[in-house]
Amino acid sequence: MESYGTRRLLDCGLVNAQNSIDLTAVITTPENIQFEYRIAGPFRRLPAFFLDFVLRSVFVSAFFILMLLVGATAALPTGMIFFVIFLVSFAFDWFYGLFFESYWNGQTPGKWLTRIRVISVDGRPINAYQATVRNFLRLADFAPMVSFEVFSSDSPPVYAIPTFLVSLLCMTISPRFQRLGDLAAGTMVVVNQRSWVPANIKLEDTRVASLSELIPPNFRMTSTLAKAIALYAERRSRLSIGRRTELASHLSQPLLKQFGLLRDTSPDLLLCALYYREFVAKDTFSDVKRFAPTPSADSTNEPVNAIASDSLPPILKAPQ
Amino acid sequence: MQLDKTAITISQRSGVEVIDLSLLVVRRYWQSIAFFAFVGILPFAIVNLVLLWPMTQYESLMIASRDFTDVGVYHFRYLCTVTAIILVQAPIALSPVTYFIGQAVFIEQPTARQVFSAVWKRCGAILLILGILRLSLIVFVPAVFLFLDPALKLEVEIPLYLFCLCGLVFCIRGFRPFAAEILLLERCPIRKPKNRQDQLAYGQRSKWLHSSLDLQLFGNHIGITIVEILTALSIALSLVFLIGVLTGNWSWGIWMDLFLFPLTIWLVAIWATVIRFLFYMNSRIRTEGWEIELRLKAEAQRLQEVPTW
Repeated sequence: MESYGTRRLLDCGLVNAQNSIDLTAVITTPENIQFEYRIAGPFRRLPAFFLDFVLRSVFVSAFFILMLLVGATAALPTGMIFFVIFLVSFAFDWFYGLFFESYWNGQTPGKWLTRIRVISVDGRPINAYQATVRNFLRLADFAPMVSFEVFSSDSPPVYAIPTFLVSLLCMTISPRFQRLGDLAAGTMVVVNQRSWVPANIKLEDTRVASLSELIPPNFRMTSTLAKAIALYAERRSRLSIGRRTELASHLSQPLLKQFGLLRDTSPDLLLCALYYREFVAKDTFSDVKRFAPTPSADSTNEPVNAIASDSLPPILKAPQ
Repeated sequence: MQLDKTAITISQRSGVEVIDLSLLVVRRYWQSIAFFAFVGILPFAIVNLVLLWPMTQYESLMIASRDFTDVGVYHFRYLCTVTAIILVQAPIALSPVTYFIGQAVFIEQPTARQVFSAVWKRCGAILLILGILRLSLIVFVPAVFLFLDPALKLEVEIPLYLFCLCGLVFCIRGFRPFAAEILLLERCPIRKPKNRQDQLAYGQRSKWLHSSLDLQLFGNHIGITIVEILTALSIALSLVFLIGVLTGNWSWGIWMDLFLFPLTIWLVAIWATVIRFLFYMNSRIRTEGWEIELRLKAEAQRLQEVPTW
């Protein structure tokens, strides 16, 4: 039975199909197409916030110095200089996020540098209205603001120290790590993911292909077994030899028994052979069958892996 | 137990992703975490309150002292002391939380009895490693000194002692953070049993798990500490705001010192326990291919149940 917490997470989309907690949200379009986004949480967003803050501060400071210099050389009244500085810094503070997010596909320079982006909760790019709402509510996310009196009773009661607790709590509780501004604007912040490139798996052992032929032809892998073996083949190069053997032996023991192979067969080699049979040789066989001439009676008993290996692309080819 | 069906998706994550994920874990299990944390923390909180209460008598301490005539010095000393003591005590006090999350990952919701009995069984190892070697209980020594004589002319020595203690603990935890997980979840014995050669002792296991990731773990530790300090500040200041709204007193009062500030530090320590567990998972995934192990074991179980051909 699902607990209340689980139901909430399912509503939010921050659990995956297996009902386990993850940072991904699935969005289904009206055309029933599903997109998976990696949601940026508060701590993923924090560097972008600081970068934007620094950029704004640098710009405002530079403008301040420039205006002072202009004022000194052109003998402008001090009141006017400070009014212009105030006006520009106010505009820059309030319209910085709005401008960039509207015209730069949901990104500010800080977000661009940290590879995150604001999008609508339905997966579409945000519009100017959404950018305005989420940026104008930014001040609410700073709450509660604390007075300087906390540190000294002599200090003036100026509530200028942001605690960001409202933002943190709101993001923790809300769907898809949304702060108040995001909730009001119907937006969320996602990670710009790089396109996934299949791992370049190299099976360096020449015995892999020959061992794969000893696997009974009627053995069919389930999808979960195939995934587990593909994951092992992808990650094994980063593991020590001892650890490879230890990991592979969990699965090799029942498999060796089923296949009737020698019990001292290397567990790592067996899993590589399974990978080769499922993902490398199978594709090659289908290609070979499609393009090769009909085998003659003489050639039927020839070892097929020799044909298969020669026709493999370099990446997938197991060294002979 | 279905080994590949986990409550938290087992995959390699970056540091900030782990911290973000910890918020989701807290959100899902907040009731159980709060319960086990409360039970674990309560004895420590009571002892701390009793031992450190005399330190909060700032006016009388100031009158008794010839060197420091500012209340702020004693206030600062108290805040530093209570922070240091709680942070050093946290791993031992929050052992039930560590065990609970470890089980919850495999969608096993252990009962309170199961959690406490599991922690009790490892009590000796926890006391020795976390309590003595990692100083969680040793930290009571300066607190006892301060309780016996809060006006003791140790304004320099005690803070210095605590500062060194915290520095040492910071380094130990930076390079070897997963002691509680190794003891409670992996149930590694202190010494290698003679009859089981395949069983790793605590020391060996710790070395194996931590040594390949030394600098990365320390970097993560520094990052997490900064995040925790900022969060603690945020919570503490918000509590001051809340008290201000409720009582009209906007300054940092005695309630804040005695109850709400320690509560803030404990809250951050609970969250840190969840973060540490997630980093433990991440480290095992990185160094040992843990997600592969879970999947292969689950497939082996399935193969033994139903042959696929």
